[in-house]
Amino acid sequence: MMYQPTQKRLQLIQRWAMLGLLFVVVFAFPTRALAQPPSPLLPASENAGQVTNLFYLVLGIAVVVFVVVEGLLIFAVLRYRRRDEDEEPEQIHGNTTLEVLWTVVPALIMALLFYLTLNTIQAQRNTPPEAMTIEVIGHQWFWEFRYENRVVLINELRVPVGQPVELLVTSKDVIHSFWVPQLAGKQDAIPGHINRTWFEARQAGLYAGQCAEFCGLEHYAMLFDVYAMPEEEFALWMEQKVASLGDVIGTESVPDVATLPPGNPAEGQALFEGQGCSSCHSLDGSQRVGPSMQGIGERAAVRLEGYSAGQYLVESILRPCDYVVEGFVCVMPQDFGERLTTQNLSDLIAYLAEQ
Amino acid sequence: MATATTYPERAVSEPRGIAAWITTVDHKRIGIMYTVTAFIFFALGGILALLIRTELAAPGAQVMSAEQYNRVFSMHGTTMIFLFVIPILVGLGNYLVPLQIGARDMAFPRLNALSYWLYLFGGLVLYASWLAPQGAAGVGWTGYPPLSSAVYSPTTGVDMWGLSIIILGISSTAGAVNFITTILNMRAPGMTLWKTPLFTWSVLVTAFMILLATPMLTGAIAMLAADRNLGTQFFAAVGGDPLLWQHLFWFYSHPAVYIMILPAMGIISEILPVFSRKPIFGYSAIVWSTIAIGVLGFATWAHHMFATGLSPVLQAFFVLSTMTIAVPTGVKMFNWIFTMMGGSLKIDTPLLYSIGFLSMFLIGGMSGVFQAVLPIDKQVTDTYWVVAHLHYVLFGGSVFGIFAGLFYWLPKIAGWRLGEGLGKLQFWLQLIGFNLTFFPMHILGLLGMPRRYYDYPAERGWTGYNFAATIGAFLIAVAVTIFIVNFIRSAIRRDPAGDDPWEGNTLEWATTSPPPVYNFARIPVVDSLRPVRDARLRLQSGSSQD
Repeated sequence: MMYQPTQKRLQLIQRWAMLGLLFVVVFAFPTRALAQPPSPLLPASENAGQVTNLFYLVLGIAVVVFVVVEGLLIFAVLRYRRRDEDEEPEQIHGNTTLEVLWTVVPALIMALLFYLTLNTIQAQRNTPPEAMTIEVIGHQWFWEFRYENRVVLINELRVPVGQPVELLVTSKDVIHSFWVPQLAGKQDAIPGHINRTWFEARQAGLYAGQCAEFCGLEHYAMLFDVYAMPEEEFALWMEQKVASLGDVIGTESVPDVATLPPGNPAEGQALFEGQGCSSCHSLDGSQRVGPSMQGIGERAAVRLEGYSAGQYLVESILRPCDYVVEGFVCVMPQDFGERLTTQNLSDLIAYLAEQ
Repeated sequence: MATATTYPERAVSEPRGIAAWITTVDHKRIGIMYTVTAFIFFALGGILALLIRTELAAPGAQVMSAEQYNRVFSMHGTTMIFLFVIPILVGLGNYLVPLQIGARDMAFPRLNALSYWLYLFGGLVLYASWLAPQGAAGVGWTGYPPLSSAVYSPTTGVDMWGLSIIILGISSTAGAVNFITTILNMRAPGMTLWKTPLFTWSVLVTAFMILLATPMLTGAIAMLAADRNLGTQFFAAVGGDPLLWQHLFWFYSHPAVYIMILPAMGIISEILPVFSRKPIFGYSAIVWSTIAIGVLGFATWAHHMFATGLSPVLQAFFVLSTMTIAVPTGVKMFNWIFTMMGGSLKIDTPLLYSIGFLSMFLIGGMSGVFQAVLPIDKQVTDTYWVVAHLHYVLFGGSVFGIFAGLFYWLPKIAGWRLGEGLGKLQFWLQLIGFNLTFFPMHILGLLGMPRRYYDYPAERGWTGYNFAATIGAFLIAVAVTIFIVNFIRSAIRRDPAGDDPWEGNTLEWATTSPPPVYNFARIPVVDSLRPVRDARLRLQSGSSQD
């Protein structure tokens, strides 16, 4: 005979249902309240927002399922504890109706989720035609962002608010993953592949970016900033950036250190971090991908016959593979000339001379 | 008239002591060796976990460098999966399956012994890699190239890691052949497949999965070894494809997670009926669901690759297959709960662990459903959400199931029971510690904390949850220590358990505790799913057997 609920049991079930509803309410909303940047639950783009909404829907279903199933479990454990050593319960082997029910209902829930999933994938699949294209190149252990107009940023991405941005993501070495949680889901940066993702920031702000695929020693430190700027501010910034491109040294020639303007070590320090140098070169003597810069001020003077400390540093930055310190492989980018002006170079050398 | 019985001299002198264990081909001794060895690796993997948690308790370097941290988490994963969970379930299977089917041993006893010694050897090779001149492998248990290639990880530690997994693969595959042959050919008279205990069923399906999946991993590692040492370019960015590794690796490693959970589910299916005094609810539904999971488990692998840029067709396929596999899993959950519903529950440690399994696996299974929704997965994959998910199913699921099995079957294996008081204390501490460690990780994932991060910025708001998780981890360590204390105390006390301390249903309870080397004096004839229960009821009803 199947388990028949009595009046008292019905009341018990009702009480559990109320508790369950309370659970749903109590559980779902603090998740939002607990969120802080860079949580994907604080979306700043339409795409990220759609995903967050989908998340809350699935959370709602999950909490209901959890309350029902866990409730049944706890009910069974409490209600059917052995009270008498001799008690022998009814030997029920199964129930076809129940089997069908708990196969079909979950299958229907899955069908609904499948439909919603495909919908969301489809909605976000095609990049709007007016999107601005930016190349994203992952390196061990910094991010390089190349705009269409030759502007290149390291560890910093600037985008206009209200305009879609398409990112072509790849890597120069190992697999990384480009992830700005508040703006879009992650996209792996795989050498030999170009993965596309896009988003449109809907409010100005600073959003944290992280590497999200284990890529070795400094995986945890491969962080970057994304600035979403109002359109006019962005246009102005871009103008200035393009203008300063004319000032960059370029990759054709290597300047003589004597021709450089006076250098500012404080600016140099900002560049050392901002250009990604600190990802590979430590300042405290510890060995990373590249030699430590500790004591470079003195070492540079005696490294190469005929080269002053300053000239050695200039050559090392602009032509890194010409002379490689023993025990190291040349993986240093060879295009710093495209990103540095003579002033930048001078500032960097002034800073390094102090180490 | 009394006669003194004389026994013939043994024709061949048999080894004794340690030599007996080294030369044994007895499935029971091999099962014990597997279980003890796996438990030692569990402790080693656990220490690595405590090191991870100590490092992450607060921002900044605590106890090790980033390089060491990367090695520690890589070895933790590899140890727990290949040297603990899979082998201990194989060990319990080794001990129990011949007994449950009424056989005297496995089909290939010497091959069985080889499987064990290869397992031990593989484990030693992996741990020897700590001594590699450039350090142990620090490429994650997943070993993705190009990071794991010779260019970015020149250390021979990676080659030793790969070699150890190949050795373990040979061990597993031999074991799978053994289990399949044994279960399909050596069941007692009357034991059709539909009267076969559910633990044995789960081992059968698991063995097929091992047989079919392991060659893919072995092949992938061989290709990686060739890339690293022979100049091939299978996984190179130019001339090859790093993604090829991921497809090959996950083709094995996704079924691997079902290899790790199905036997544990089998254990639960054994314990619940016995401790509820009711038959399992929906035996055939559970059998079909197990088979469905075994088959479907081969069709879901690329859900680990949702962020790699799969084509839209592949995306849709793997979303669908992943959601589909949730259905048979849910069916089992309901059948287990309804086994208890209306029963007479004896809430001893094996049942407590089974209830713990059901609750924790429910949570783990559901966090998996979130990940099946590809756009959500693109936010939560490679974050602590996944770490939470995998530990809820592997620890809350498999490990709780393993402890349930240990408490349930140790009386049969050793002849004495583990103490109930300490057992219950261990359970509650482990339950609380486990949830304290891993529940906050769901939140950390939703706050954006990626996996495999050696350190994190203080201003993200992640510190509190990480600290709580570290406390939880040490609580788990205390619980495991209590288990060891309980084991030693109970071993010293040796309260005899008797043949059938739990009023069991299946054939292992029809022989002595521990069983004689030949298992059964006479091979039993079986005509139901619960032969031992039937016999017990016949005895109680007083039918005369003179």
